[in-house]
Amino acid sequence: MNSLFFQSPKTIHIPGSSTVGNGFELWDIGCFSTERSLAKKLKKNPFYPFFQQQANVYVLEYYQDTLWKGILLFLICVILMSLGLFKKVHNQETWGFPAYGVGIGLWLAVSSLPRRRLVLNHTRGMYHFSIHGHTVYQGPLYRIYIRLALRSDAYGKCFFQLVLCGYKLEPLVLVKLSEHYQQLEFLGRHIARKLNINYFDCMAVSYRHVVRHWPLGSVYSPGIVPRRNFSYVPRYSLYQEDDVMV
Amino acid sequence: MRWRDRITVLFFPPGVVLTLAAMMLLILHISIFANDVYHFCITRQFNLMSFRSTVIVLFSQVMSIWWASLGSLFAELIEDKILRCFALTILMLNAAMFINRLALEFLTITYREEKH
Repeated sequence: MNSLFFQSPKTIHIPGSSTVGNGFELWDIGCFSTERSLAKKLKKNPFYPFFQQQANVYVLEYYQDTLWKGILLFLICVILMSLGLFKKVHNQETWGFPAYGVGIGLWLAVSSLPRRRLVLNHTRGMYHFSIHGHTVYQGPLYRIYIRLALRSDAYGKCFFQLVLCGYKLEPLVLVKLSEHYQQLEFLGRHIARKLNINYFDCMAVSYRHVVRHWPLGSVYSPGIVPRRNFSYVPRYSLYQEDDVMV
Repeated sequence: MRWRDRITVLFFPPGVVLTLAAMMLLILHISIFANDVYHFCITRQFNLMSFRSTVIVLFSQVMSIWWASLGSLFAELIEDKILRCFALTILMLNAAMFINRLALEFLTITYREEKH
């Protein structure tokens, strides 16, 4: 009976999620993770990418996408080595290249094999990130946020990226390289409001941040500057926006 | 499941793994270099030198330098003093090894098979 009610949440895989340092980033340029697909997923599951486990507890379980890349590299290099296709070119031994590929592919696959689990616990006000049951970090909620990141190409064209990130977390890319700022901002604010976490705009200083959790004692700490109220007149619609969005 | 836990713990801080991989490659390159110098200076048997795998050795040295620099970047981010020192040492040794390798290649260029 217990197992009926306390099932472990469904495992989901985010195809666009990858760490920053792991190369092969060009493989999925916005083909699968556009804002349209994100909106569809949000319609199906209002707490996407998380699952609601209890009233105030959201759980995300995922594998890194370097898993299939590593396995693919490993298989290709094993086939190359076993067929002996790329062994010798002009008196030079070149079997080392597929050997490198085997090693690197194996490492990528093994290191992304353990399942990551991220829990947002609003009743305790903490988030908890663990890899294969090992706690990596457990901290207050103001350290996890959704951010609109800005990237520009050589012609000065701006692309936006929606990222779920935090202290000691692997950044999870929700939307990769989109040109539509307003749609992304809407989606980002929507997700942040549903999950009740902070949202940050692409500019460092902006009136479009939505800060729901402050660090303790932030008023007195020297690093955090209080909002300058005199410098702008608040737009009334900005405050109502949260209520309008569904 | 114990071995998997260990692998998880070992593989999580990516900088340390990269530095360790660079160190293993460095040891490999030092042994190849020593072998080459031995056969070039002492035994004078040039066919035993690693002329046939120049491309892969140079490629592997460049990879090693790249990994060491990534590892030292991560170590800088972690801000652990011992780790940072270790990573920088590995990076500098790799760079020195690359320069040594290039010098040896140019010194022995007349003894290569292609020149005969």
